[in-house]
Amino acid sequence: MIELCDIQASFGQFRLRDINLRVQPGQYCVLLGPPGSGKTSIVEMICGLRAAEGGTIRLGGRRADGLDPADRHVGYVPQDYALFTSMSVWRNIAFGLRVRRLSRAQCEQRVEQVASRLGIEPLLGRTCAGLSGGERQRVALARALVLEPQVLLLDEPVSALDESTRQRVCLELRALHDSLGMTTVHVSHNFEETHSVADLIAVLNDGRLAQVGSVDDVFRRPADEFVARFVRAGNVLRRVSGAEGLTAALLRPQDATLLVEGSAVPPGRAALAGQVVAVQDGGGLQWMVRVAVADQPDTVAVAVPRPIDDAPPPFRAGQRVIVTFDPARLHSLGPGDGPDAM
Amino acid sequence: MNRRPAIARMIGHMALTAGLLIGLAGCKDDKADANRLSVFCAAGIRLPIDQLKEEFIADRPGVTVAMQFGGSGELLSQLELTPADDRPDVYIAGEESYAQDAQAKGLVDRIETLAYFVPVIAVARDRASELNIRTLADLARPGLKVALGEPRGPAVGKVSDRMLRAASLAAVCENAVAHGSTVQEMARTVMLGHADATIIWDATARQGDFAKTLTTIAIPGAPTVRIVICRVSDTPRAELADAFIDYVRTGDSSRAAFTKYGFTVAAPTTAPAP
Amino acid sequence: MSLPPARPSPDVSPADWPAPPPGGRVAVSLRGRLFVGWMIALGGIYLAIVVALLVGGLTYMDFSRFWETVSSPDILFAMRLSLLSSLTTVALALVIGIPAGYVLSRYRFPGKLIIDTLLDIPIVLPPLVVGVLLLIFFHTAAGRWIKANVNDPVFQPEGVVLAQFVVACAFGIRMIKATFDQIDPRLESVARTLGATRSQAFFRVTLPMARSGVLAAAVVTWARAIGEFGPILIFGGTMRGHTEVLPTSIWLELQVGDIQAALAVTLLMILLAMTTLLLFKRFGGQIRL
Repeated sequence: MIELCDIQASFGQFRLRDINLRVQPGQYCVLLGPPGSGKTSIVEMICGLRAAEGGTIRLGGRRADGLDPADRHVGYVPQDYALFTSMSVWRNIAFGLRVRRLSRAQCEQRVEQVASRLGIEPLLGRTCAGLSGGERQRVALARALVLEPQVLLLDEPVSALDESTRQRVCLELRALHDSLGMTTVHVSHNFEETHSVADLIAVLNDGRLAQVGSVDDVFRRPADEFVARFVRAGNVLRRVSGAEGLTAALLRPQDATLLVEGSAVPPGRAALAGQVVAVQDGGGLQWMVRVAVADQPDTVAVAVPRPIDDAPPPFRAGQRVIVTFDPARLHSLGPGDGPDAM
Repeated sequence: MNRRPAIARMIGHMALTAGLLIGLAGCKDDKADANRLSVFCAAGIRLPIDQLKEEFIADRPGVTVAMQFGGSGELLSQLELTPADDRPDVYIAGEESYAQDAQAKGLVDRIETLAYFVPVIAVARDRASELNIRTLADLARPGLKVALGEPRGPAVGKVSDRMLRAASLAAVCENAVAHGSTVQEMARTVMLGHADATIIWDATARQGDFAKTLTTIAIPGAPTVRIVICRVSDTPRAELADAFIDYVRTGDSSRAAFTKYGFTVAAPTTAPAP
Repeated sequence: MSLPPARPSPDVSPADWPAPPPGGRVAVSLRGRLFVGWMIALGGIYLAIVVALLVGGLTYMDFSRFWETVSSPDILFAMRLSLLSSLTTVALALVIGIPAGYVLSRYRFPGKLIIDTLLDIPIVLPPLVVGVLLLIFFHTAAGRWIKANVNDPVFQPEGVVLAQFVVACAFGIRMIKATFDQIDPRLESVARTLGATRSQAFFRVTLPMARSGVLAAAVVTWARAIGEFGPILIFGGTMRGHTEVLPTSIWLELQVGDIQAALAVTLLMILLAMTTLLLFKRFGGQIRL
């Protein structure tokens, strides 16, 4: 449905390079990345508000590069919602319909429909002043949805909402996507909120796509150290081996075990000596023990199973321990980056 | 809620603009009209000329006279800069040097004298006895605030500057507390109390509010300046212009009008200012 | 000495706090009030100046001459022409100034800085010079062609409008540009994603939001236009009953030493201006631009 092929663009100092992304019809794609990585720029290029310098964009199979935003039929909800403050809520939502010269009756019917679906009927007569963040978001959404677009672009839709509602709203957005049969691109900087709703994840790092894949792909087999850290897939271990130089590898906390110092290391397992820094609740039936290991810049987290009773954790801060793991379970992250690697 | 789209409103707005412009055009004059005389007149001479103009057109049905007022110098610039078909037919200057300039540039081809400006000393009426100024030399009194015309500006400025220096009173020129750009300005300065004395034209001192609030002291032997009326060269209404000039400058009604507004009509006995 | 507390309750006042003055409350905050006082005093200086000038003029005036001066046919004509020409100037300034302000605000193009500065020149030039330049222009070949084929404004009422327009429009453009600067251009972008063409986005989204700024620009433009004198003197002419406007009337009276008549017309102008400005401000919000 949405195809970005070899997109290149530069705005001032910032450059987008070699963006290749294909979102199938009906997919919910989450475009992930830290602030300033170019996510909004990509979305603006899809809806036609920015031009790429190289590469092509296709929407629904047809080339969209030369098309005016008005002709692309893409629903766009910007990050700050961009409501038309001189108009009432009703007129905001009806804007796209009135521009197409629909009759008053038709406008009323469709606005009512969308408003009731999003639960904002009571707001229709009000001006935009004094609406809460969540209300403004739903008005912006209604304004885009009333035009029945096939593609929906949401730029950081939940970032401005308070934490307790973010997860819920993400689920609501997914439900809306499913019931309307749209193709959606949801921009976010937060993996935790979005991984439960995404069909496809594209991770953007400083203008380049670091990885595109399913949630599983990205979480279990991150393409590089950046992705691994961004989605908090697990421990990033760095090592220097003669031939390859500096490399990084992913060790999931669940794949490591902790032994008291001096214990024997079972054969076939690698071992790292270290000292316990903290013992935290790991959620569910496990402790998360953080160990400072020699030669590693970050602490290594090890998941230690926890019995159901209230027994204290088997390890204390300051205790000397050994982290062991099966080297085959390490997932390579390619060359390590950063000057502080050993 | 506003129904009509904004574009319709913009069109309505422009239609209103067009309507206003058309309304204005209704005030238009036909400049090519053979019976419409256009006169540039120095603003200080407006009152007698207005009266004479009314008398002139009263005798001539169908004739109109459009009067444009301004400073003599400004009018000269306008005379030079306006395109030929906008030029006036008659130019009345408050000082002959402008008319002579105009003639040298080929803009006017007939210059006649209307009346004369005689410089006088003027002080506020209610301070006259206190100040006790009798002669030009009294202006040099220490502590006296004197306003003079800008020596490169109005005619009265040039004339008073020369007159004072010729009488060895250059100090008065240097210590002038204000340099006005028009003679009315200087009269106002004294009237409102910002200066004690000034040198202005006799006619100015006899005009309007100045007549009520100022009193004058004659300057024996003071150089005078001619108020002149000129016919503009190549005007298509030369005959009408000549008739107007003749009417304005000769005859009893002319003397009566000028005298009524305080102008000196008889040639003064002193030599004109160089 | 410490400041008294914000709201001491009457029945709990420790001995070392000063007693409230009889019948009154202790100042909410002395420093706060001083601040407000200073702001008003300094800002009010200008108001004081304006009022002083007006009161001075009124006390000097001889009111017995007011009606006779103001009801003369020449002055009535000047008043009509002043109103007609200044309103026309405002209408033209908006028709031209809104697009000009929009382009300056939204678009980037080479030489923008120079063009922007050029548009300020009419504000900087002495008004008399603007009149001279207009006169010279109509002397040139281009000017003569316009005179012959479009309109001859020299010493005509159209010339009055043109003279006012050349100066007043610059002010209008400045203010309209500032208004558009304040409106987020993204709103127009979003409107376009909703299916609006650029023109629809402008008229339906941006312009309604610009309404109060455009109105303020209209007020300033009108005020400048009706008070304009220099270029009208030179280019429009001062012919009574033809191109005379109120500022010209005042000047003509001053030139013959009739200060009372000049003040009478001045008072007329002040009344006219105040009425129009009040109407603008009161009902301007309801004008659908």
